[in-house]
This record gives sequence, C-alpha cells and structure tokens, in this order.
Amino acid sequence: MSKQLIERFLSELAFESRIPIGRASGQLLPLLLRIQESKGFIPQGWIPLIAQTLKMTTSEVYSVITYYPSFSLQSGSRFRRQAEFRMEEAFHVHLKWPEVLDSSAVLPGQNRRILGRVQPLAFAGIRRARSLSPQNVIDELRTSGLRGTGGAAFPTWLKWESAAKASGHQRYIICNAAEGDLGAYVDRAVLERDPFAIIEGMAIAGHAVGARSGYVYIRSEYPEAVKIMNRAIQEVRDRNLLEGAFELEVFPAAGTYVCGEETALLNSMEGRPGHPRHKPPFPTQAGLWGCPTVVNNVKTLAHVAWILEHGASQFTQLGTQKSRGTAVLSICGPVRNPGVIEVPMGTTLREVIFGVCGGMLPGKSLKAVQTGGPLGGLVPEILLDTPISFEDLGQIGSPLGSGGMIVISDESCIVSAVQKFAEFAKEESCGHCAPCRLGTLQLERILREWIEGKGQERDFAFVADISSTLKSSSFCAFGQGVPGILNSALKYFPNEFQEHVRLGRCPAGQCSLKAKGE
Amino acid sequence: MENKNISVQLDGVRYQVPAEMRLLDFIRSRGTVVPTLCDHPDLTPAGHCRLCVVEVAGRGLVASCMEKMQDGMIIDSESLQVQNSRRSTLELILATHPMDCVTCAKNGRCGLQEVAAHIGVDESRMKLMRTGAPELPTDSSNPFFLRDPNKCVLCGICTRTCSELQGLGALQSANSGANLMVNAGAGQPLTQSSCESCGECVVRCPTGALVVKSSQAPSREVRTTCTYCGVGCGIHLGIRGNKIVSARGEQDNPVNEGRLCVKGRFGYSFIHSPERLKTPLIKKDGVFHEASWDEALDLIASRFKDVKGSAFAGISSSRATNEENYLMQKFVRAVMQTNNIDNCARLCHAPTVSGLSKSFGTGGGTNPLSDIDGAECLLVVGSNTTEAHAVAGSRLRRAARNAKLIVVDPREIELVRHADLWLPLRPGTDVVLLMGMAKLILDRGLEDKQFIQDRCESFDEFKKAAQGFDIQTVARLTGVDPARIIQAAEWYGTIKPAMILWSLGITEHTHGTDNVMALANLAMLTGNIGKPSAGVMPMRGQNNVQGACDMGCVPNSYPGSQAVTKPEIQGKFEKNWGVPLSSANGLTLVEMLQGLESGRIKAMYIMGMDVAFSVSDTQRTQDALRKAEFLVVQDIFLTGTAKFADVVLPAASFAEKDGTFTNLERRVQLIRKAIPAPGEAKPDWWIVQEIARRMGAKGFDFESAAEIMDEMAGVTPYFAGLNFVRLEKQGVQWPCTSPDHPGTPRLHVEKFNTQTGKGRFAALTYRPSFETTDADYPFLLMTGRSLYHFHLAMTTQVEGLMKLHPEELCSLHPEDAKRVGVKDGERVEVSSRRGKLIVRAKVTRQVQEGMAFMTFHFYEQPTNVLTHQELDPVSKTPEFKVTAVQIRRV
Repeated sequence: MSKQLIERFLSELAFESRIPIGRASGQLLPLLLRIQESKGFIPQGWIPLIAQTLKMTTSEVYSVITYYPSFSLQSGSRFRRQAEFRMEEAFHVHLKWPEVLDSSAVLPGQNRRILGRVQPLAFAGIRRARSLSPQNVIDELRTSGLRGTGGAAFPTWLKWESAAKASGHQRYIICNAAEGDLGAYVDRAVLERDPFAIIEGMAIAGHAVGARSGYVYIRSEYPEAVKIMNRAIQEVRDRNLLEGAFELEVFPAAGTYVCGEETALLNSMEGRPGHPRHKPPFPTQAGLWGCPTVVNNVKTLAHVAWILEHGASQFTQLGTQKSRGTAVLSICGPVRNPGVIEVPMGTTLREVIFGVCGGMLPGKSLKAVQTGGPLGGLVPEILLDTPISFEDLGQIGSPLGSGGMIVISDESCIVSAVQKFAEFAKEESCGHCAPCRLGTLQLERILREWIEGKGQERDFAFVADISSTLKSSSFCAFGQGVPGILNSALKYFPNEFQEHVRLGRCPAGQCSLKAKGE
Repeated sequence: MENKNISVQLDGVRYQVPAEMRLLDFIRSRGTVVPTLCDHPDLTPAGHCRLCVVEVAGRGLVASCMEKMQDGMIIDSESLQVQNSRRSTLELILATHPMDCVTCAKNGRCGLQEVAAHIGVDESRMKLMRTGAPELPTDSSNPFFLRDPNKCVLCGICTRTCSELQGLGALQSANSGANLMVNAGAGQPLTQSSCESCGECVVRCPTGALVVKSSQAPSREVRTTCTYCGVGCGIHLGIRGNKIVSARGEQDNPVNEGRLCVKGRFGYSFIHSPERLKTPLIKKDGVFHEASWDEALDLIASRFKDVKGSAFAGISSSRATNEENYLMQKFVRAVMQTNNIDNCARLCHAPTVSGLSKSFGTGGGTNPLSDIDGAECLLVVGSNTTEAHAVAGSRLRRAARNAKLIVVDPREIELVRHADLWLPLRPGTDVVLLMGMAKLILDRGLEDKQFIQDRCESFDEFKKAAQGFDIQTVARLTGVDPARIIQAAEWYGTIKPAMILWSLGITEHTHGTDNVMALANLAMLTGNIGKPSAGVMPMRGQNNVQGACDMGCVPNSYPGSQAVTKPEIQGKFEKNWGVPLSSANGLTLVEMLQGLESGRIKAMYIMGMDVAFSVSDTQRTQDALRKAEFLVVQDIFLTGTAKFADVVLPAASFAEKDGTFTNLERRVQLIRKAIPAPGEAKPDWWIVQEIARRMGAKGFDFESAAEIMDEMAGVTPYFAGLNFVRLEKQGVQWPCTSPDHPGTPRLHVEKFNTQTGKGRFAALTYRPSFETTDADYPFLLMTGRSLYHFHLAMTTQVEGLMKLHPEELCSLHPEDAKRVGVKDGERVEVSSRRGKLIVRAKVTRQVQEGMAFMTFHFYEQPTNVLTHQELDPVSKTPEFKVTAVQIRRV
C-alpha cells in the first residue's frame, strides 16, 4: 500500500524524468513534502521504503526528515518554528499579502521597474539577449553594475562569467526564492506579481552561461507563490515562449533559514540536510550535482530581465556609484503604511519611512530600524538619514541584506528584541560548526537571563567573547552574521543593556523584571 | 601539472611551498601544533570544529583544514585572536561534554583531552556555560562497540568514514543546531540500521563516543593475514598474554589499506573457544576417546597403508596454508599413490578455474583489487560483494561513485543501491544474458576489432553462436527488461577501462564453466584484458582457495597447474619426490563422495573442510561419509564432518602457525604465529608430515613452513621466485618465476597463457538449469553468504557475530509471504525433492516474487539438505544456486 503510494507520488513529481541516474536522492525533498502534505506527517514505517526507492540509507532519509522543519514524524506538523512565530508576534510582522506602496514620491516620473511590470509577457529582454552573444550579455550586466540582491551583493556578471568559464556538460540556473528574513516579503512580492520576469531572467542567465535547465527554489511557506510560478512555467511551456532552449521547474524548499545560503540550498536540492558547503569551489564551479551552477536571488533575475530589455545605461540612471538601480524593500512594524516598495538606491531611510510609509502610527516614535534580517543590524533613529545602499548601510553595521526592514518603536525593549533574534539564531543554526551550534545556544541563554533579571556583570565579557568567535570562526555567513544585531544594539543602546543587567530594570517596561535587591 | 612553488610567511619566517598544500598540513610540517578534532588524514576536510583557525593577513581567521596555500600568504598560527577563538570554541565544546574522563574508555587517548591540554581551559568560565542538557541514552545494541552520544563532539569523523571510506552512509547526522546528533537508521539502535559493524568509525572516533566494548589494550602485535575470505586483508593481531585481544588493519597493505570488515576486526574469539579440539580423538564403539598423538598417528598410518591407490581420497583445505596444501597433495600423490586429491574450490570456483583456463590459459583473476578504483565501468555478476567480500565490497562502493556500476543479480543486494543499472535476471540464465549482451555489442560495432584480431581466436564461431541470442529471446528467458540489457551492453561496450567481477552466482550452476567463459568472451570482445583497471576478477571465497588450487590440491594437476597426465611433468615430480606417480586424473570432491557410496573409495582423509554440511544434498553426503571404512578428519573444531570420523586430529588455527595464504588477486602473503596452539593441537603440515613419516615415506623432513615453500618453489616454475624472506617484506602476486622477479599484478598483458598465446572465444549455447519449479515445488531457492558469517564452525563460535545473525532465515518477497500466509519472523517449512527443514521467514523485497534465499551457516538448519548434486560437466561443481522448493507455514 505504502509502496504504491510512494511510487504514485514519485510519478506525480515532475522531477523524475530529469534527475540524472545516480541522483535519485534529488527527489527526496519533493517526495517528503508530498507525503507530509498528504498524510500530515512522515510515517516512520515508510522510511526504509523511501530509502530503498531512492537508493539511500534509512539514516540518510531520517537525517533529512529531522533536519527540515517542514517534516514531522508524528501527526501535527512542526511546519514553522517557534522562534520565528514569537518574533512575528513581538515585531508585529505578519505573513500576509504585502501591499505594494506607491513610491512616486521618491521615484519621480518612473514606472516601477521590477515590482510588477506593465507588459509582463513581452519577453523583450530574452529576445534581445538571444540576439547578443553570451559574452555580450555578460558585458551588458557588467556595464549595468548589477549586484546580487540576496544579501551578499556580489557582482552578477562576475558570477555568470565564472559559471560560463567553468568546465562541464551540464549547467544549472537556480532562482533563490527561499526568502527567510523576518518581515521580508520582497521576493514574494516580485515573484507573485511578475513570475515571467523571473523566468525571463533565468533564461537570459541560461543563454549567458550555457545552461539549459533551471529550478526556482521557493520557500514552502509561500504556497501561493509556488502556484503562481508553476502556472507561469506551464504557460511559457504551452506557448513555447522559450523555444525549448531553457527548461525550468519549481523546487519547493522545506523550511529552513540556512537554505537561503546558496550552498546549503544546493545540498537540500540533492536530498541532504541543508548544511553549507565550503567555498571554494563556488557553485559556479561545482554546484548542483557538481555541475557549474548560478544561484541568483529573485530580484537579481528580475533586474536582469529589465536591464536586457532597457539597456544597462537606463539601469544606471538611478542609484549610487556602487549600488546601481533600485532597491525593493519591505517595511514592517508600527508605521502607518507598511508594505513593499521599490525606490532608487540612495534614498534615505527617513524618506522611505516618513515619506512613503507615512511615518509612525499615532503615539509611537521610532527607536530603530532593523535591516538585513537576522544577520543584519540595527539603525538607530539618529542615523535615519543614511542612504539605502549596500555600501552606506554596510558601513554603519546594518547591511541592506535582502531588503526586509522592521521598524521598532520606543515601546519595544531592545534587549528583548535582540533575545528574540538570538532565539531565532539558535533554532536556525544548522549545527555544522561548533561556534555557531554552541555559541548561539549560549548567547540565547545569557540574553534570556538578562531579560529575566538574572544577568551578571561578567556576562558582558563572555558575550563579547562568544560574539567575536562566532563572527571570526563560524563556517558560513550565518554564524558570522548572527552577532550583528547584538553588536549594533550594544553599540547604540548600551544603557538599555546596563539597566537590565546591573539594575534589573527594563526601561521600555516590556520585560517583567524585578530590580535587584528588591 | 608542474609542481609550482609559492612563497608564504608563517610566524615571521618565509617558506617556499607547493601551492596545493593545505595550511594545516603546511603549518604542522613546520613542527607547529595546530589543534583539531574533526580533521582526519583519510577523510575530506569538513571544517566542523574550527579549532584549527589561524590568522591570515587581510582575511582574518581561516580554518586551516579547509584552505590551500596561496602565494604571498602571511600566516600567524598563534595570534591573540587565534588563541582567543580557539579557547572560546573549546570552552563551548567542553561545556556540553561529560566530565568523567578518568572512567572513560578513551582516557589518555582522547582527542578532546589532547586539544584541551594544548589550548588550555579556564574552569570557572566553563562552569558558567554548562547548560545541564539532559543525558542521552547510550546505544549498546552492537555486540562489539557502543555509542555514547553524550561524549560525541560532532566532529563528523564517523559519518564521513561511513560515507566516504565505506561508501555506506549508515551513520548520519540527525536534527539541526544544538540538537544535532549522530544517528543510525531511522533513529534506531545501530543493529537495526544498515550499519555493517565494520568498526572503521570506532577506530577513528577521537572521543569516548564510539568505543570497543572489550577494550583490553594489546601488549604486543603480530602482523599477519586475515583468515576469513579470499580478499586477504593485512592485519595486526593484538596479543595480551597468550590471548588475541584486538585486530587492526594493516595500513601499508595494498589489499585493504588499513580497513577491515566486522569478521576481520571482531571475529577472532573462535580461536579461544572452549570448543577447540585440544587432543586427538579416536572413535571406539561410536564414542570419541581422547588419545595421544602417537596412538592416533600410528593407527592412521597402519590403516592408510592398506588403502594406497585409487581406494583412497584426500580432501585438502582452502583454509590451510599453501605449504600445508602442498604437503597434503604430496602426501596423497607420493605416499598414497593416487591423484584423488581435491579441495573445496570444487564447490565454488572450480568453474572459474576451468573456464578461465579454457579462455585465457590461466585460472586466476587478472588484476589487482586496487584496479577497481580506476575502472570507468564495473560489471558485477552474481557476487554479493559487500557481504561476502566486505572490504573489496566497500572499495567497489567507493569506485561506483565515479564509475558506471552494473549489477547483475536476481536479488536486490546492497550493491544495487550504488548501481547505475540493475539487471535482475532469472537464476541460471547467465549465458543467455551475457551472449545477448555480446550480440548487442557486435550489432552496434562496439567490439575491439584490433584486439580481437591480434590477440584472440575462434571469433567467427563465437560470433555465429551469438546470433541466436536476439534481444527478444534474451529478455524472455532472463526476465530482464530489454532496455536495461541494451543499456548494459552499450555501457560495457563503450566505457573503458571496464572490469568484471563475479562470484558463486556465476559458478554454482550445471553450466558454471559456460558462464565463466561467457564473461571471458565479453572481456575479450571489448579488449578489456591485460590493461590497468581492465580485466576479470573472480571473487574467491575462502582465504586460501586460490592457494589450495595453486598448490595442486586438485585431481588433475601438480602445483602450478602442471598436468598429471603429461609424462614430462610426471617424470619431473617422480624424480624430485623419489617415487613413481600415477598418470591418471583423480576424482573430484563430489565424485569422491559418490565413490564412497559405490564402495570404490574406502578411506578418506579430510583436512580442514566441513564436507558433511558444505556439499549439496546433505543427506546423501552424510550417508556417503557413513560408508567410509576409515575416515580421518583434521580440524580446529569437532565439526559436523568430524563427527563422522574414526580419528579426529586437532589442528592449529591461522594465529598459531606460520605459512602463506594466496588471495583472490594471486597475492601470496605470510601468516605468522602469534600465540601457541591450545592443548596439543598442531599445525596441519606437522600432522600430515607425521603420518607420512610413520608410513615410512621419504621427503617429509621439514622443520618449518619456509622449508616447504622452498621445495614447492623448486618444482613449480610459476612460483619459483617465492620464499619467506622476500614475503616477509610484502606479498607477491604470481606468476613469480625467479627470486628477483617482481611478481605479476596483471595477467595477459602481452599474450594469453594458452598454447597459441591467443584468447579463445567460446561459442556457447543455452542449457537450462537442472532443476525447475513445478506445482509441488513452486519456489526457486538460491543460497549465499551473510556478512556476519563465513561457513559454519568458526563464526558460530563468535558470540557477537551470532548476536548479529543468530539463525538461518528464509528470505521471501512480501507477496509470496502473503500467499504462504506468514509474517516476518514466523516459522516456515522449506522442502525440496531431497529434504526439508524449518526456519524463520524473513519478508523482504530483496528477493523477487517466486524466489527464496537462504545462507548455509548453521548446523541447526543445514540448508544443503535441500540442494542437489547435479554437476557442471566440466568442473564437476554442484548447482547450489537453483533448487526448486516448497515453502509452507508451520
């Protein structure tokens, strides 16, 4: 019975025919998601059968099931992790259809570029790209100065050139839509509004680097996005809009933050726990199944389509010297108009929050803006005039990341906010390296003690020690980035920490502390 | 690529170093300590522990295990930041580690203690961090080692060992983040996972997380060769007092490169079993009585004197040494005056010897095992390599990652998981499949025309014969999907170099010799012979089955395949041994038993073989043994066969004597005496020699095994270059024709060993198996080995192995189980036209519908009561692999 069901699920998955021999494990995540969806959990007794079907060991299958939060071994899914849920509560960030805000105040006379195009199905970008040689496409991107919008801000042309030059028969283009930053609905908004731009961007990338197939790796908490993307792919296929030169499909993610990191993403696609890989080799040299692979963020690919349609010189008309074009942001928290917005790079935070978003809700004042997601930092009110760009935000220790921003009001306790992020870090650490696996555990424990009034003076040195080790010695960008929020909080709001630890008092009145000695 | 040196600076000193060197290796090579927990020389670096960080100017801290040197790098191996980070990370690790060092089995050998001692730990800071995590249960299910997750530092050495070295992946991480742990199976005890208990992870674990249960450290070690299968792994036996307490793989041995399987590492307690024979036994009125050596030997000598000639038969031992086998056949030929000498190869790889002799002129595997590593295509037919030849099996699994692996086997054996293509053929249809593949290769013009023209003969007849094997017929007879057959032919025909491996799935048929020649045909057809990683490898079973045949324990040849029927050979041996010799071929093993039945054979001398249970059709075999007028059995245990004997002689085990074994790649390797034999047990060669002397024979005055080898080398051109002095250094692959001959890793490089020097194609036809299923006996039973056992008497004396595989099981497909009406673990009666027995059913999809599978390791459930004695006409090997049986619920 279970055997037939597994085989039926497998036959329903589009992957089967295309995943090469010896790579059956690539079907593991889609299969598990399908079983989870249909049964509500993964029956323990099925594991040996799944293993045998996909030529894996039971331990390998178990390893994957227990790694990803999308799977559970008992009924009652643990689809989302507790820390993330608590953060959404704490920061008033809710997963809902993000409103796209009118940005004409800051983007005068321009249509939005990638946040919903006017004529989505023109495919002018790919047509123009195909009229150019692959090298010319890469050169065009080079001229545009486009940098990756997933967080690392790596020059896109350089990534493509590396993949184009790597040796290998098979190459892949992967769109990274595993958007995991708290309060960031940027990729989702772009993807749901104009999935064709992503397809087009991927096809252009395919043309430039010589790849004929690709995957859109979508966070499974975005079922709507998965549907929209699947429909768009089907339409492109039905109308033969790519003329068979590029094939792509959706690969649903299984709910971990770290899988937004490109090598962890690749491991998950190969049916393994989403631990990051060491670089080099970079994915462009040895990515999916060891083949040269370009992994680009959703917005990057949408920009690519725009650039190829309108030309690099149009693109560079907006933005700063080092951050060209526009930024797509999502603003959450106690502002009048939260939502998603596209603004020219270089627009200040103040212009966005008090211009486009209409300022704070009545009776609230702004304390800080959290940018760059859980690996980002905090921008205090006094720095709100910082321009939004990779370089300017990077300089003040609160990177742009993938564009998610959470506005924090005066009513919020910074220590408590940082503790929430530490809790998130502890839950999302993949465990691959000792500093991150154990450092996040200790950091969260100490911060919890602080908000519970059990802090001690010597903790500061201890926290500094762990933060520094995390930053300097962790395996991947996750562990290295975890201390960012803590460090900027300690830098800009030292008094709040002092009051919590030394006096046992929460100035925001949020933590239920008793003053020491009372 | 040229070796480019680059310039780097380490701790203020400039060096020129090769660019491909890792920082860690370079820094250590300068004599500087770099602490690590997760780095291991055998494994891919993983970067888990981050203790090896060093500071690189312009980059900050980098994990030195993961980084290669770059030109101009300025490295500080001990900067303040390095020290702080290492200390902080170590504190984090120690904070979750139990502090019971003194009682820990790894105390003093612990990797964590070592790095802690180097880095230094501040106890007060560590106390701050202790989280009081709940204690996790220890997994003690494995009889040989235990797993304590509390002591695990998650260095990933065990998981990488299992995946990278063993190619298995039984150990994996589970969970994530702070809950990360090492896991086997679906969160189960080790014994319920796919763990093969090889212990390679235990050897490498830096902490007390994986430790051997009986961890008595040896006080000395002896280098020798494993006594289990034909792979012939080099081992160091660890000894304390007169007891073997440990075994570890010999790193420098090219056969196993330090690795061992569960039997080779943990399976030696049989040596100290109380069941070992300690004195000679003489049967009086059906009861054994202890006797002195003089009594026993004199009795044997006097009885043997009366049966010289063709009424006598000797069975030698493929478990014993080359020297003992040489002496045994010399005894039978020179003293007993008959060529009735054989060994258990008759039951397994005799078709390999006869088939390969016909095709290539030499009956041995053509390449070294290490050639598997470089093969681009691997065709494995009828060999459950990962169980029966575990260490070679893990080599195969590793190779399969980079090569196309085609597995031909009726069962979905473990190897299928690693295969690119599986051809589940109907047992007994190998010739059809292989000739069909040959036709496909020919039809597509993929044959190596040059090789065939230059090096082979009889090609046209073969080509004509192949025409009868069109794909429809082949698919119908073999039951294999034609697309798979075509794919297999195309891969084997085009992907080079290619190797073929096989075992008893090929040979134990009434057409076993044909099967072997069909494989030889394929190898010649594609030119896959005589080149690196191109060849044919019969996976031979017993540790010295190659040697027993090489030493002339076969009825048709003296040592080194020198035919007894050739007058010049006969003359040479007569001159050398100083006695007249018989020019008539002797009887093969099963013929000897049938000779007992007919009364033609009166007396038999069996050395180290459990004839009563290993020959097919147990009832018939045992009836035959009962008819012997005088039966002498020499063994280390009172085996099932010994019970039929008139005199039983206690032999020394492999750990108690010197000698040589020859493995399946023709490598002759020394075994060395590690401990004294129990009681009065003696080496087999001593016993044979004593009998000969008491019969007044000359030429049995050897003082050591080395002297026997010297005589053997003197009469055998193939082995002329062998002697103990050179073997002391390393094993030698024969032919080795003079003391300065380096040995021969690959056969048939220039020409074949046939009379014409050409490889002979065989024009084969399909002959169905002897027995077919019918309404009364609807299931097709195959037999084979288990990873945890070897034959009967040895491994069943090892408690741990018995825990892992305690009894005979009959594997059945779930659908068949339903039809029979049994569930997994319930008892069934399995019966054939010859006998029946009761065993538990193992319900598994490993076997196809309509088929059943059993091993043959248990006296209580002797599987061979079911099998029959129909023989391959050429090699006289019985058909163990195809038996029609009925299975009923009990």
